[in-house]
Formats: sequence, C-alpha cells, structure tokens
Amino acid sequence: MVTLASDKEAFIAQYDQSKGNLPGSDIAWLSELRAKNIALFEEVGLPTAKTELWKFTNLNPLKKQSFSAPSAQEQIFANSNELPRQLPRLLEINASHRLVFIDGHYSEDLSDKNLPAGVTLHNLSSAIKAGAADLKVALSSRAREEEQPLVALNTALMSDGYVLEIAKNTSVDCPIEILHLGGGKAEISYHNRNVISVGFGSKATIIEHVTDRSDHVYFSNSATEISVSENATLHHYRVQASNRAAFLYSSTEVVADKGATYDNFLLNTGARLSRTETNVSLNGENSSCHLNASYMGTDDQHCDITTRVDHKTPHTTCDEVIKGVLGGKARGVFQGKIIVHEQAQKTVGNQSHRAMLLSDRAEVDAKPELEIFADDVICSHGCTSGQIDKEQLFYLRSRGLTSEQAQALLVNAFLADAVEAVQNEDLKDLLLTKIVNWLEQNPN
Amino acid sequence: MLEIKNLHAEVDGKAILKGIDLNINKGEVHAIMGPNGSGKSTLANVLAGRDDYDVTDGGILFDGKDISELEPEERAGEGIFLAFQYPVEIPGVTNTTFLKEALNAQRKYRGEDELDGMEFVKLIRRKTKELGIKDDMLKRAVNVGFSGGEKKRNDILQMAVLNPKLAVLDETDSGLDIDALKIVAEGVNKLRAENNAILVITHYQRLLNYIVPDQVHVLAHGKIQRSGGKELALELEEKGYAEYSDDEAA
Repeated sequence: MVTLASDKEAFIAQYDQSKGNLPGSDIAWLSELRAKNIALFEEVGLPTAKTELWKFTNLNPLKKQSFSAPSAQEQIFANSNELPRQLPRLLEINASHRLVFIDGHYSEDLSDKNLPAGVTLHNLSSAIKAGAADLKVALSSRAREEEQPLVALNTALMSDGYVLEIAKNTSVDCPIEILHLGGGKAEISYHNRNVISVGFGSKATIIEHVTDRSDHVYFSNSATEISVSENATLHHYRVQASNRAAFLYSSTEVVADKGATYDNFLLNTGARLSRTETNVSLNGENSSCHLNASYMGTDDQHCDITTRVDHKTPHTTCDEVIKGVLGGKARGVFQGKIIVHEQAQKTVGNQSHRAMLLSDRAEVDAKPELEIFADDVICSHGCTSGQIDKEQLFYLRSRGLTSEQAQALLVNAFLADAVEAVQNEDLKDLLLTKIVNWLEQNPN
Repeated sequence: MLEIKNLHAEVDGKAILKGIDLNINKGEVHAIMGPNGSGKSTLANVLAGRDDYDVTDGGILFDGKDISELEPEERAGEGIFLAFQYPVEIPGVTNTTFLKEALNAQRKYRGEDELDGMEFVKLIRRKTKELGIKDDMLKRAVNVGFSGGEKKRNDILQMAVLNPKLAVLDETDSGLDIDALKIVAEGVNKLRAENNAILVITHYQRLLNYIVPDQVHVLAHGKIQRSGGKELALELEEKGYAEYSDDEAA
C-alpha cells in the first residue's frame, strides 16, 4: 500500500520513536501534555481544505514530502564547519543582540552571550530543566487545539525553541534579533516552541529572521506563546525569506493585559508554502495591537496570512494593514477575524487587506470576518485586489520613467504603506530595501 | 519643431482624429480650441503616446523624427511634456522621488549623465523658488490630497524641472478658479523661451488672456477647421462654437 509520505502516520511514528528523547521526557506533566496532543493530532490529522479555516490553503504539496527529525549528530555538524562564514544578519552587529537557531536548534556558540539587563533567555530544554512553573501554563494555554492540529503536533514534538523573559519595568533599547537558519539537510522537519513574556511596564523589540542556506525542502512548524503584561509594549517583527521549496507554518498566540501594546509586522517573501497565524487576545482595558504585513509571491509560491483578534474588554484597539503583491502563478490568502465580545464596548477595530496582481495567473483569496457582540464599537474592514492602475502607469511613463521603472515605483509604494508603522528606523529602511530588491529580482 | 501631417487616430476602434495638419515652430505658443467631443484631448493623448490611442494614418514629426510609434517615456525623453487635465495621484511616492527618477530617466534616454542627489537638490530648489512653490510640496506624495490648483501647479513644477521642448497643456484651466488659473498661467509664462514651444488645448478663451497665443486653431469633427491669430479666440468667445457644432460633434 502506498501512503502519502508525511501524512499524519509519519509524524505519529516520529513521535513514537523520539518521545523518550524529547526534552522533559522525564517530567510527568510534559509527557502527558505531549501524549494528549499527539492523540488530538491523530484524531484531527493534518488540516485539509474541508476545514473552513484551511479552505484556501491546501497542504497536499507538504503531504507529498517525507520529513524526518534532524539527528543529534546532524545538529552538532550544523554548528560547525558547513555554515556560511557570515551568518545572515538584519541589523548591524552593534545594533542588535542576536540569537541563532540552526535547523531548529539553538546554537549557544553562535549567539550573543551578553543580553541586556533584565532579559533572561533559556532554550526550551534548559527552561524545562529549570522547572519554571510559568512554562507549564504557557505550553498548556492553547484553547483551540482542535482548530490548530499543527500546533498540537508542535506540542507533541517540540524539541527546541527559546524562552525569553523581559523583567518588569525594563526598557530594552537594543532589539533582540533571532535568526532561524534552515536548509542544512533535505527533508527534515522541526517543531520549535517559543515563549515570550514582557513584564509590567517594559518595552522590547524582537526581530525574527527566517531564512536558509540551501534549496533543500524542509518543514518548519513553529509555535510561539506571548504575554504582554500591563502597560508593556512588544514590537515583534518577522522577516520570512526562505527558499522556494520550504514549508513554513508559524502560529503565534498573544495575550495583552491592561494598557499593553503588541505591535507586529511581517515581511514575507519566502517559502514554497507559508502560513503565518497570529491570534491576539486583548484581555485588558486599553490594550491594543497592530498586525501589519507586506507579502510578495511569484512562481508557484503560496502565502497565507491568518489573523484573529479577540476584543475581550472595553477600550481595546486593533489595526491591521496588509498589502500583498503576487506575480507568476502565486497565490495569496488573507483570513482576518475580529471578534468583539459582549463586554468590549468602545472597541476600535480597523482591518484592510489589499492585493496587487501582476500576472493573470496569480490569485488571491481574502476572507475578512467581523463578529460583533457589543453595541458601541467602531469597526471597519476592506479587502481589495486589482492590477496596477493604468492611469498611474501612464502618468509616470509620460514623465520619462520606463514601464519597468514605473511599475517598480508603484509596487514599491503600494507595499511600503504597510511598513510605515514599523518603529525601528534601521529596520524600516532594511525592510524597504528588501522590497526593492525583491522587485528587482522578480520583475514578473 | 512639431509637424503633424494628415493625422488620423482612433480610440477603441472609433475614428476621432480625421486628418489634422499642424506646424508649431520653436518659440511659438499655439492654442487649440473646440467644442466638447471635437478630439482636443485625443490629440493631446496621441501626442503623448497613451495606449489605446492608435494612429491609423498620417504622422507626427518632432524635430524631424517620426515619433508616432514611440513609447510614452521615449517621447518624454525626446522632449514632449503633457500637462494633464486631471493630474494623477500616486500614493506613497514623494514628489522629490518622482521628479528625480523622471529627470534621470530622461537624461539617461538622451545619453546624458544622471544628476546626483546634490545636483538634483540644487536644481529643484532653484525651480521651486522661481515658481514660488513651497518646499513642503516636495515631501508630499504626488498629488495626494492636493487641491485642483495645487495639482496643476505640481504639473507646472514638473515641466520646469524636466524642461521639455514642447509642452502640451490639456484643458489645464478645467476645475480652476480665476486665482489658481492666473498662478498656473504665470508659471507657464515663466517657462516660455525661444527654444521651446507650447500647445494650449482649451475649451474656453479665458486661459488665453493669461497665456497669449501666437496662433489659434479651431478643432471640430476631428479636423482643424480654421486657424488665425489671438483675435480668433475672442471671436469664439463671443459667438460660441455653434457654427462648428452638429450631431457628430456633440
């Protein structure tokens, strides 16, 4: 009998083989949590297009691949001689503290040792060993596991990740850059679990850089739990620039307390197939979030951005500006749900998704959803898709710009709009440069 | 400088220009007037090379070169500038970026060295000063949130920076009150010079009080019906276009 290589049995087999060696295998609550989640994954299976939440993103290309976990030997190898001499870096060497993950594994050697005062970092294993009580809460906090079978799989198989704690009343001026470098070996998968907690009144910037060093097929299934405490602010930026064979799934769950701000931006150019889920629960009054993104796709790339914001208390605000440009046969998906709970009066929620299609074969599906149970709210959403405006194109050409130059200028301006809210000026410049570079490399 | 010979053009398969002959020499200002639907804006767009406007017969010589098959940007590089009836908004692109890209694209087309940042800033400062335009206009996105008058002034600024041989003003007066009209006309007059020419396309005579033409042509039914001096504009203002109008022109 022929089975699809990475259909759920392959992952379950991986769990059965590795469960004794996974971090915390000697800790009862964790083993139980893993067992519970693999059972849930076994029941639900990999998402299919029959599920409403996965209607537009078909995982068949992923299911046709077979993946194994990187062996311990490979992890050691990955830390040594085959790495590029200079690892990718978004910000200048003195402008960030960098943590490095190679094929899903934390590399202490390659990471900056001296973190700013008030910042505590553990990798997942050491955090588990240290027995932090908060960790159990964080790892068990997902309320909708049956809707997120890949997160359940992550919980069952999580082998590494980071646990980052910002103490209260700490202003971390220097951004923390986290490099996730994949592509060390073909057909491996890894399931990283990260936990970020920002203490009362604190402020920090985390920049994640997802990229790779080869054209290998790999599958990164990551999940991140974030709590932003009262009056704290987290700027969380993510640059996904993987190869065109990679599969990326990332699920981030954020809880914002009273007066807290979660500010998120995603620049996505990468992967054969990517799905980035961000769920924010605005639990405290006057909490707010920005979920902004610019995405670009070409050839047969598939880029899915799915967001959900739960307004649970009065005076909470969310803003979402998402811009996408698609060429070739690329497909974009945006699903954005805003739920205003009954008690969440005076909610302000604004969501906009706009896509520009550069080719006839590119496609975008957008599904905005507003569920409002309170009566005194201001909510708006708008989704558009279209081609480059011909009037604008002619105006620019009539002033001397070539058709290519005019198109690049317009596409760039279109995408840059979503970058505007990024607070770190160095990073903003870098994101804008990345957009320009993408346009030059993918003239469509 | 500009020689239009027996120009026939159609839009979406519909014949609009049916044999236009027009010569404009260096240093001259010509006005084309005519009733609505006579083909005035079509002529402007055909000169600028807009897609969907097809030349079916005749031709356009610019400095002796046939430009009727050139792309819009090539015509710009040759020195043709179209001031739009409705200047287009370009969100996210500042005036400065736009002007610099446009100027350097034209210079490149002509085989000239591109201006560096400093040279460009000097040039643009000089031009804004000459035209009395505030610097903050440069930082704003092209025409976004501009009033009708500001948009037209912005087109005049582009014209000043790009320094074309031939400027075609397509109904520049539409949507302008008299004060804005005067300011725009002043700007155009400052750019009049011995070695360039201006073609003013307008429905109303009032603009020609401020930009005084050397010659006036009446366009109707896709053809120049009559040509004369500036006094022809006054005559049209008095009598209207009745004698040139019929069903076809409506």
